[in-house]
Amino acid sequence: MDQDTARLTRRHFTLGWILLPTFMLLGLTLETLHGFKVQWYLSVANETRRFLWTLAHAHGVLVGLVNIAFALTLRALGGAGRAASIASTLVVCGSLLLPAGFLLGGIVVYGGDPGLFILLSPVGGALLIGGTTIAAAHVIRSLKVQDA
Amino acid sequence: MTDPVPALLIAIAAIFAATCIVALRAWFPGRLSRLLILGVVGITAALTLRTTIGASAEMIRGATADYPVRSEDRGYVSSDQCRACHPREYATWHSSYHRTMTQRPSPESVAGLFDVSLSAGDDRLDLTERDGRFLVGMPKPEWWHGPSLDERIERPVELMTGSHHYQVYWVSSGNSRMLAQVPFVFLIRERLWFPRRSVFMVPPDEVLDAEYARWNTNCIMCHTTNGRPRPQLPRTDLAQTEVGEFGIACEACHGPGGRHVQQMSNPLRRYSARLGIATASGIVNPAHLPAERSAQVCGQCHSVHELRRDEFEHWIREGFRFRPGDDLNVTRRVIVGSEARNDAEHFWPDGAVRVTGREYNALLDSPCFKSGKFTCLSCHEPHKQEGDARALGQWRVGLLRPFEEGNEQCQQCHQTKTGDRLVAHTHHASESSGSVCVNCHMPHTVYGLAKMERDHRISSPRVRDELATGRPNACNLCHIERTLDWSGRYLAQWYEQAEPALTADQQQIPASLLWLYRGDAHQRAIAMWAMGWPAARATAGQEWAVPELTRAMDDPYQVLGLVAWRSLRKILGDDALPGSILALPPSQRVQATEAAIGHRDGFDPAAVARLLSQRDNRPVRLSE
Repeated sequence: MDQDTARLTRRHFTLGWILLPTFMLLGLTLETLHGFKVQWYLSVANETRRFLWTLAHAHGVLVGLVNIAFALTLRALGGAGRAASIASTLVVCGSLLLPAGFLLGGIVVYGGDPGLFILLSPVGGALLIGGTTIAAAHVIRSLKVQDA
Repeated sequence: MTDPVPALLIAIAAIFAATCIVALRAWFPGRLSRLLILGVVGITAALTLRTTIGASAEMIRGATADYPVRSEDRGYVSSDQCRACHPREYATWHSSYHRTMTQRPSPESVAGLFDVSLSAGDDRLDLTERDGRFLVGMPKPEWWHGPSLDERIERPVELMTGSHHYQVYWVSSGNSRMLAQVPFVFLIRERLWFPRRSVFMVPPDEVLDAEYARWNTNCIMCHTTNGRPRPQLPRTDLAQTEVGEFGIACEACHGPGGRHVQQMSNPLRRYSARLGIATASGIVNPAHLPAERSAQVCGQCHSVHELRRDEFEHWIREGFRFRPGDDLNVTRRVIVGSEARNDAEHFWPDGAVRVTGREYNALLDSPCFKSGKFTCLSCHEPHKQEGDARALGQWRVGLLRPFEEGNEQCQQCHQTKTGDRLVAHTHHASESSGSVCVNCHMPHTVYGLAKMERDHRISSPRVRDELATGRPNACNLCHIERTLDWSGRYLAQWYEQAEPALTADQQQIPASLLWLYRGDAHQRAIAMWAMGWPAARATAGQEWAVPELTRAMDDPYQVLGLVAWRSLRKILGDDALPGSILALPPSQRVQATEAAIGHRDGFDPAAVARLLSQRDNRPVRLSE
C-alpha cells in the first residue's frame, strides 16, 4: 500500500469511527427526548424538527459506515490514484455536510420548512453521490484490471 | 390542478422496469433473460393498469354516489395540502369541533350507540352496524321512491352533523344525493338517543317535517367547506351535491388555497415569506385583516343573514362567491335593526341575539366592536398557540385564547379595571364570579343545544331592559334567589340607574321563579339552566332549586325537560336521575323524578299555580 492510499485509508477510518458513535449518541439523545416527552421535540408543531433530526441520526450513522467501507475498499485495492483521491475528498465533504444540514436545519424550523442550514444537506448529498460514483467506477475498473 | 401522482407512479414503474431489464440482460443468459424481462414487463404493466383502473373506479363511484361527495373546485384544494407546511395549525384544526362538524360515518366518527331499536310513537327505528356500515331500518318514508317489498326500508347513514353535544344522522334517500334526517339525535355526553323534537326548541303542537333535503339545502351552507347544493332544476327534490371538504376546514377561513399552494411550492418564495422578506401570497390570514373584515370571516357562518338574490342563485349552482377578506355585505344581508327586532326566531324584541351560533350579529351591536379594533380574534383563537398549557379538550370548547373566563381579554383595552379599581367597579370581591367581566357584560341569555350561551353583544345589566324585552338581567342570572327589585335597587345605588317601577310579584318573588313559572319557553330555559350553573349555585345555594326543577320536568316543550334534567343532575349528581325519565311523556316525568330523588317541598304551591295561570304561552320556536 503506497503512502497516499495509507493516508486516505486512515482518514476514512478515522472519520467513519467518529461519525458512527457521534450519530449513535444523537439517536440515544432522541430516544431520551421521546422518553421524557420533551415537547420542544415531540409536539405537533415540532414535527419538522423531529423528522430532520431523525434524518440526521440515520444519515450520520450511514455515512459513518460508508466511510469505513470506503477505507476497507481502499485497503483491499491497494493503490489509490487520482480518482480515489478526488472521491475521498467528495465523500469526506459529503459525509460532514449531509447530516450537519439535517441537524442544524432542525434547530430553527418554520412550520413545515426546515431552517436555512438544510441547504447543506442537498450539497452534501450531491458530493456523496459524486464521490461514491467515482469510487464505484474506480473499483470496477481496478477489478477488471486485476481479472485481466 | 391535475393530479401528478398517477404520472409519477407510472414514471417510477418505467424506471424500475428499465433498470431490471438492463440488469437481467447483463446477468442472465439469452432465453432465461428474455423470460425474466417478459415477467418484469408484465408485472409492471399489471400494477400500472391496476392503479389506473383503481383511480377510474373511484371517479365512477363518486359520480354515481347517492350522497354528497367531495370534489375540489374553483381553487379549493382541501386541508390535505396545508398539512405539509403548517403542521401545528393543521393539528390544532384537526382536533377542533370545526373539523368534525360534518363527517362521514366510521367506527371512529360515529358517536351513537348502534344495534338498538328506537320507538317514535307507533314507528320503530332499527339501528344496526353491519360490515362497517351504519344502517337505519325504518317504516317506508314519504321520500322513498325506490323498490321495497314490504313496509320497511333500510338506508345507510352517509353523513353526520356534530361531534360535541349532539350527533345528527343523515341517510341517503336514494333520490340522487339528497339526504334525509334520522328522527333521533344522539346526546354525546349523556350517551342517549333522543327524538329530534326533544332536543330542539319547537312548540309542542308543531308538526315536524321529515327533514328531507335539509342537509343539502341548509346545513351544507356552514357545516362544510365550499359546499354546492347543485339541485337538478327544475326538480327541487333531486341534487348532485358536492363539497370541497366535509366540516369547516382551512379554506373556509383562509379562502381557496390553490394559488397559494402553487406559489409556495417554490422554495425560494416560501423562504422569502418565512423570513419576512416577502409576504405569503395567494391566501388570507384573518388575523391580518382589518377588524371588520376579520369578523366577517366568522360572520359568514356565525350570523343571521340572508343571501342576496344573485348570490343565492350562484350558491346553489357553484357555491358561495364570498371569500375571506371580501366585504360580506356585498353578497349577504346581515339582519340588524328593526328587521332583527321583528324576527323572534333569532332575536329578542330589542334586537339582541337569542340563539347560539349568531355571534356576529351581536358583535355588530357591541360598543367594543364599534371602536374599530375589536374582533372575534381579540378573544378567540381557532388555532391553539404554542406554549398554551391547556389541554386540547379545554381549548377547543370555546376556542378561547388562554384567558379562560378571567378578565384578561377585557383588560387588553380596559386596562384600569384591575385590583381595587375592579372591585370599585363591580362592588364584588375581586375573586368572586361577580368580578368576572363577562358574567355581567356577556350574560347567558342565548339559547342553543339545550343550554345557554353567552350573549356576544357586550352590554351592561339593566332591569328596565328586562322589563322591556323579557331578556333576564345578568344580576339575577347569578343571584337567582333574589328579586328584580333587589337587583334594580343595587343597580340604582351603584351605577346611578333609575329604579324601575315593578309589580308586587317582581318585588317579592325571586326573578328566576318568575321566569320559570310565568315566562315563555326561552325564559324558562334560562331559569332552568341558571339553577344548574356553578356560579349561580355558589351564589344562591342549590338545594332550594331542586323542587322547582322537579316541577319543571313536565314542561310541554320537551327540550325543557332535558334542560331541567341536566340541572338536576348537576346539583344531585349524574347517578341521581336516570335518562329513562326523559323517554316518558312530559306529564309522567315529575312523578318519575320524585320517585328517583324523593319529594321535596318548594315554592308556595298557590303562588306557583297563580304564576302558571299567567304563563306566557306564545309559541317559541328558536332557529338554532
